[in-house]
Amino acid sequence: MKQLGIVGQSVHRSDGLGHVTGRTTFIDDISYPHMLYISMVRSPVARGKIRSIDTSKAEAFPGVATVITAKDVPNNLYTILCLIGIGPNDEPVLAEDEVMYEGEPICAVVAESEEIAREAASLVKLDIEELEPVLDVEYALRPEAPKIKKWGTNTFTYDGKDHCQIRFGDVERGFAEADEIVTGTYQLSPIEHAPIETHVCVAKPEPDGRLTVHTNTQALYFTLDNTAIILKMPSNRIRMIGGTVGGGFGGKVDVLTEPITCIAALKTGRPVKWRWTREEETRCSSTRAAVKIEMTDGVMRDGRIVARKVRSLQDAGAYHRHSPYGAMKHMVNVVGPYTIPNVWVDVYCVYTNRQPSSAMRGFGVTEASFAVEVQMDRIAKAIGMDPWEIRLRNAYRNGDMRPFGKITEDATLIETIQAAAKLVGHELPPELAQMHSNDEGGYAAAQRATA
Amino acid sequence: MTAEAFHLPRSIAEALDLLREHGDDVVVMTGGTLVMSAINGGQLFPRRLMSLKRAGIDQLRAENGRFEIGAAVTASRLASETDLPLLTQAAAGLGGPALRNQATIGGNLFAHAPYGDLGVALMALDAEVELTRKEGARTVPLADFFANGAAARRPDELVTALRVPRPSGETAWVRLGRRQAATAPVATAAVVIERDADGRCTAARIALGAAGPAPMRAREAEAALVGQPLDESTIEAAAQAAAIGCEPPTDALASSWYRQQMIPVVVRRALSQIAAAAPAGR
Amino acid sequence: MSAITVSFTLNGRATTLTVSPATTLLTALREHAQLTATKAGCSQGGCGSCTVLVNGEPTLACLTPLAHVEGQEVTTLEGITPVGGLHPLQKAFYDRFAAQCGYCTPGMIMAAKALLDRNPHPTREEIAAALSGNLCRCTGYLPILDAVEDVARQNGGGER
Repeated sequence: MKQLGIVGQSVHRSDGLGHVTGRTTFIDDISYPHMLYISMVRSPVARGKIRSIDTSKAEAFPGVATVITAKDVPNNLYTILCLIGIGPNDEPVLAEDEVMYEGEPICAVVAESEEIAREAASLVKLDIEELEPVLDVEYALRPEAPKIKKWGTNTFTYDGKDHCQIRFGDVERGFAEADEIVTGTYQLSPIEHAPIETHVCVAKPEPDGRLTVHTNTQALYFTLDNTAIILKMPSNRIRMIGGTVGGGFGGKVDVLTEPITCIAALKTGRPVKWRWTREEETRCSSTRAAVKIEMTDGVMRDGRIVARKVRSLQDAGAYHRHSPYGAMKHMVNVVGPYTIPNVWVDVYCVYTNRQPSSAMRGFGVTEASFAVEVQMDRIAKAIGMDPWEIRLRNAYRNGDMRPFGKITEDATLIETIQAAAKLVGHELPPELAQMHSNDEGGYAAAQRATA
Repeated sequence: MTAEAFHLPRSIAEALDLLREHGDDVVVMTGGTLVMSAINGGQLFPRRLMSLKRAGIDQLRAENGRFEIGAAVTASRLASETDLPLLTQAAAGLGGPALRNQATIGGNLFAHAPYGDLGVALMALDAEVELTRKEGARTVPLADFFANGAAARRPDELVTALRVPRPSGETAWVRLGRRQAATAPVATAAVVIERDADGRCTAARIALGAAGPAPMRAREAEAALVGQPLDESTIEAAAQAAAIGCEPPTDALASSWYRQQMIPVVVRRALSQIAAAAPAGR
Repeated sequence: MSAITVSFTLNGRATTLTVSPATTLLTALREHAQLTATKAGCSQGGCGSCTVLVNGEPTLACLTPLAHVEGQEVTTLEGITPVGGLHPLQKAFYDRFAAQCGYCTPGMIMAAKALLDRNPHPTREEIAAALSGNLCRCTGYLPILDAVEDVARQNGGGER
C-alpha cells in the first residue's frame, strides 16, 4: 500500500496559532472609524397586532443617527429557502402589522455607541394588541386553535397536503401479521446552539455605492443572495465576506443580521456594526425544533420489524426558516438504518408563536435517531432479544429498497456495530460477528422475499 | 442622556456626601457584577455611577468570636480568609474564580433571586448588617433587612459592614444547581442546628435561597425541629414545612413550580447531613 | 457627552484612556486600546471569554468599569505573548487542540495563567475548578484540561 503523508498523522490546525495568540480576526474584532451601532427593539409578546410604533423619543436622543422600521426595507418579506423553491415568503425582516413571537425584531436604533443605542431603544413606545398565542404543536392542529399564518393554516403545505409523507408496502397488513405491537412517544425540547460568539455583522458603504459586509454567517452565499433580494440590489454590488465563526453548530445559517445592518449603512452612509447580546442569541436566534414523535411498530418474535407507522410534529416556531426542509429530512430518517417492508410516515411542519426553529447539527435526523434507537431497545425488551442482535438482524443491507424509493448502495451499519462492539469489549456471537452489509442472507432478505 | 459621571470615592464620608448630593440619580455598586451586567443587558440606564470599591470598607476582622466584614470584601477573600462555615461554602460556590474576585459581600445583599447565596448563609448565621449615614451608623438584623425589602435602607444610607457571630451548633450548606459550578442555584438551604446531650434540637435556623425575592428564614421548618430528635420523621416534617410560604422565581434555569418541589429536597439533604455526622459534644 | 479619563498599566505600558463614564474594561480594551484578543461572549459574567488579569488576579473585563482599574495593572492575552513566540500555555493549547472555534481560548488561557502563577503544579481537579467560570461550546473541555496539565508538568510539579 502507498505510504500516506497526512492520513494517520496528527496535524496542527491551520487556524490554531491565531486562536491561541488572539490574533484570529473574528467579525466583532473588525471596526471602522466613524462606525455606528445597532440596538434592536423586539416584541415583548408572543402574538399581537401592532397598533403603532412611536420612535420619536429614540430619534431625539442625543447620539442617535436614525431608527429603521419596516418601511425602510425594500423587500421586507422573505424566506431563506426561497432559493430552493420553498415558500411562500412568510417572514418580515422587521415586523409590520403583527408580531408572531416574543423577541421578533420591530425597529433598529442606530447610534454612535452601543450604550446610546441601547438606551434610545428603551425609549421606543410600542402599542401592541396582544392576541392569544399558539404555543403547542398538538393544539396548533386542532380546529379551534387560532390560525396564525396568513394562508389560513398552522402547517407548511407539501404538494397540497398539510404534511409530508411516506407510503411503502401495507402497514395494516404488517400489523395484522405481527406477534407484538410496540409503541412509543418521543418528545424533545427546543435546543439553543449557544455559541460563545453571538451573531455579529459589520456593513460599510463604499464610495462607489457598493457595500462591504463582514458577517459570521455559516452560509455565505445564502446570505449574499437573500440580502440582495431583501435590499433589491444586484448581488455584485454586495461584497459579502465571511470569516472565522466563533461557534455556529447550525445556528448561524439564517439571514438575521446582514440585511438590517446593510440598510443602516446605506441610510446613514456610515459603517455600522450590529452585535447581538447574549439574551438575543438565546431568545431570538433559531433553535433546533421541538418535536413530538409517535411511533408504532409491528414486530415478529424472531426480531423482524414488519411494519412501522409514525406521526411526527415538528415545531417550526413562527416562521419557515429551515424547518420545512428539516421536516423532510426527518421523514426519510425516521425509519432508521433498518429494513422495514411496510412503512407509513406523516410529518407535520407546524407553526406556533414560538422563537423560530431552524438548522442545528443534523436537524430532523438527530431527533429521529433518538426516537428510533430508544424504540429499538423497547422492541428488544418486548420480545426478549439482545439489543445488539435486534439491530443487526434488522440492519439495512446493500440492495435493500429504502421506503423513500432508493436502493441501498452504501450500507455500513453492520460493520459499524461490529466495530463498536469490539471497542467496548462486547463479544458478539459468531453468527452476528460474521454478518456483512453485502450479505444476501438474514432477515432483510426474508423480508424482501415476503414484501 | 447616557451616564454623566463615575464616582470612585476614597472614603465612606465622601461616598455619603455624593449620595446626599445626587440622591436618586446615583446607582451604587461595589464589585460591579450586578450593576454592570444590568447596564450591559439594557435593563439599567443610570445617570451617575458610584463605586464603593475604594471607599475603605474592605477590612476583615475577627474579634470576640465574631467577624466584622467590610461591605467591599470579595467572595474570594471570604472563601480564603475566613473560616466561618456556611459563609465560606457560599462564597466558594459563587460563579467562577474571576467573578468571585469581583463580587462583594455587601453587593450580594442586593442580588435578585435566584442569586444572593451570601445573604442566605449570613441569614442562617444570624448576621447583622451595618447601615451608615452621615449622622452615624446603625445595625439591623439581616432577617429584618431582607424582610423589609427596599424600605430596609434609608435613601441616604449605605451598607458598610456585616457582623457575623460564629455559630455554636452544627451547620450544613446544600445548593442545588443545574451544573456543578458557575451557575445560579435552583434552591439553596443553609442550616444551623443546636442539639442537647439527648440529641434533641434546642435551636434551629434554616435560611433558604431562590425561594422568594430575597433570602428568607423557614420559620415553620425551624419550629418543626425544636424539641425533637433529628430522626427521619422530624427531618421529613421540617423539609415539608420549609416549602410553606415560599414564592420562588421562574427563570431560564428552573420554573417556580420546580423550585417549590426542590426546596424540601435541599432542606432534607442539609438536615440529613447533620444527622449523619456525630452529634456535637458526644 | 461626558467622559472620564483613566490611567493604568496595560501589558506593562502606562496607558491613559478617555471614555464615557459607564464604559467597561472590555469595551475599553477592544474599542479604545484596539486590543481585540479579549472577547465579548455574554457581557453578563457568565462565560469567562473576557477574562483578563488585574494585578495578576483573573477578572471579568465585561463587568469591570474602566474606572476600577485606575492605577492598576491589567494584562491581556496580547501581553503574555512573547515577541515571535508562544507562552507555554499557548504552545500547549496549540499542540493539544485545546482551541476549536477559538472564541473562548483567550479567556481560558488567561484563567489558566492566573492559576499557574499562583500554583505552578495544580492537580487536574484544581485546574477544572480554576476554569469553571469559562465556558467552551466546542471541545468538551478535556483537551483544555490536558493542555494546562502539560504546562503544570513542565513546571516540574507532576503528580502530587
